[in-house]
Amino acid sequence: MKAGPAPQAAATGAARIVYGLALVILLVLPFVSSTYTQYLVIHMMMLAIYALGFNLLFGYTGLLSFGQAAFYGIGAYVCAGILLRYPSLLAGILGGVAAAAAVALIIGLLSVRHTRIYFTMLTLAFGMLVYSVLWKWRAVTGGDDGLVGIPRAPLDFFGLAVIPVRTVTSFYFFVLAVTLVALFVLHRIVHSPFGLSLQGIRDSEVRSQFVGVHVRKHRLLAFIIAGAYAGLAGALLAPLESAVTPVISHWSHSGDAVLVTLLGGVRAFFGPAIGAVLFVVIRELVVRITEYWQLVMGIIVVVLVLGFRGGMAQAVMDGWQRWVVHGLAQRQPPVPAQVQAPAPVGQAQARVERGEEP
Amino acid sequence: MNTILQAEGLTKYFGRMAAVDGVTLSVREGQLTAIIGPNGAGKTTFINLMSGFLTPDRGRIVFRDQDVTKLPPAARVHLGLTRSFQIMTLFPDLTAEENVLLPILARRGAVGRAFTPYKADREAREEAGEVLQRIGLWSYRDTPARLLSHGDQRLLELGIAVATRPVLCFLDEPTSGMNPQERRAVLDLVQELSASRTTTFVIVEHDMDVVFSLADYIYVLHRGQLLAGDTPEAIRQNPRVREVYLGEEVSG
Repeated sequence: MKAGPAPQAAATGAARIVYGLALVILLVLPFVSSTYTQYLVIHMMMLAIYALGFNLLFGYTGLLSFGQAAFYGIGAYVCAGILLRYPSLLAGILGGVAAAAAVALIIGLLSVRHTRIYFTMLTLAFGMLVYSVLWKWRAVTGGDDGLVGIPRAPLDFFGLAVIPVRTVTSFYFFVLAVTLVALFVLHRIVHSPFGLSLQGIRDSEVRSQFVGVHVRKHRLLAFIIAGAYAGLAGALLAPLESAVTPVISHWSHSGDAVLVTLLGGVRAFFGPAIGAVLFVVIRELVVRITEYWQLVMGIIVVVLVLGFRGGMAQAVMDGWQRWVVHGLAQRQPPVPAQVQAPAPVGQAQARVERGEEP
Repeated sequence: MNTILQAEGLTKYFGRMAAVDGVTLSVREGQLTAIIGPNGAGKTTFINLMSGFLTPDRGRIVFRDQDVTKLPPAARVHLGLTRSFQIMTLFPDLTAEENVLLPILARRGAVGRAFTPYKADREAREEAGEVLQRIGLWSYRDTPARLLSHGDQRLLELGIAVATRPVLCFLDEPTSGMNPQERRAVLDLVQELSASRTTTFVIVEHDMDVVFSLADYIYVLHRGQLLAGDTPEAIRQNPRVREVYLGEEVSG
């Protein structure tokens, strides 16, 4: 049922190969790399979960949240609190996610009635609120000291099986499994009718109402899912670092979600995951030269946003479109970069884009 | 013929100016109804009130024996009341197919499903295919709406509205900015859909030729008030209508 099956199939096939390759690398990596590399990749995966959830709101629903770090912080603190009292990794993670989702429900109810800059400012304000609470509520959160001595508790499936994850390598595999499940679920969500309705809301809020979509309800659901994903990323941080401090819920960490997503690409599902890898790599490389690594990161994001509005994923897809699909033999002008084609473009479509008669 | 929509004393103020001022009218099932009036007569405001885009300051809207005055747009759509827009409000980054699929999925109560791919919903996609064939955009089904020509976008606009399978559909100047050929295509489509008796259309138009060739019944608005409501023949003869609006256009 596709108009241009050849290029699309080629793109899907290439994508499958890339995904398969990425998975193989992730599986083999712990056997050939240092503990520190594994630690960095764990951070990439957590950042990917965090940014992919954020992009459900940003790229798919059209809402720019500047308060995702609040949910990240809540996930981390609740998980830490559980692990300090009851050493079960599963209980800690699920508790962290549930708490983040619950707070997202409350903040979302108050925020999603607004859009654009008003929504962004509200989420920023709520994020700072959560940050202050974590900072000041010393009795529960440990104040500026945070919570320390969090055990990397074993993965206890309610007595049925107990898997220790004490070493970085075993924890790596745990995070990898969680990441794959989280990505699979999110992939299903964005390709579901609900996911299509979110994209409809992004494109035209008014029209969405007039085709029978309950806009506010769907926005709220997207907000809760994004909050739960941020909470999941945060909950993974607590046992990894064995300490949590209020800094993780600072607004600048909300900004990281935005940067990572812009870096990787807003309009491609895996864009934020690519961004997460780039973000950690760039930071690690630049930090060795200068402490002002954010300056370099900023420049890179600016160049990417100005040059390829779809981020790195778009840059790669444009290149693919230009050199592989169209082919050098055809000598056709390439699809202009500013045409943000979310999917590979078919033959008839490409003609429409160039303004020719089909 | 049954009355399916009744507006009673509908009033909407913008500041101190009444854009719609105590309008009472009814729409009968299956009757292609047109609303005309000079610029600033309150036609678009009236549609906005009927579709739930705006809430009236006074008055009542009854749709199929149900008071819908306070209902939000999405709830009205589920009852079978929708509209198209004069200024384009498509889903620009979605493909033509996805544009008509969304209302179909919403109507079937499928937009709450978050774990099955929408591309696997065969029945919904078949229905979307029928709509696309009907509006003649089947061959552009994988094209993002923003890349369609202006005329095709207007056809898609109509396609989205009918994909909700409305009982009553308001069309706000469906042919604005179209060339004569495209205009013909849209009007033929409206006439065809109207003749199939599943949807009653209320059309707001500027073009008098369109109105008189298409409509079964015409309401004339003037400065927010209802001036007349009658058959096209009677409207043509109505001296008050001639005076305020039609003038030589009709007599000539």
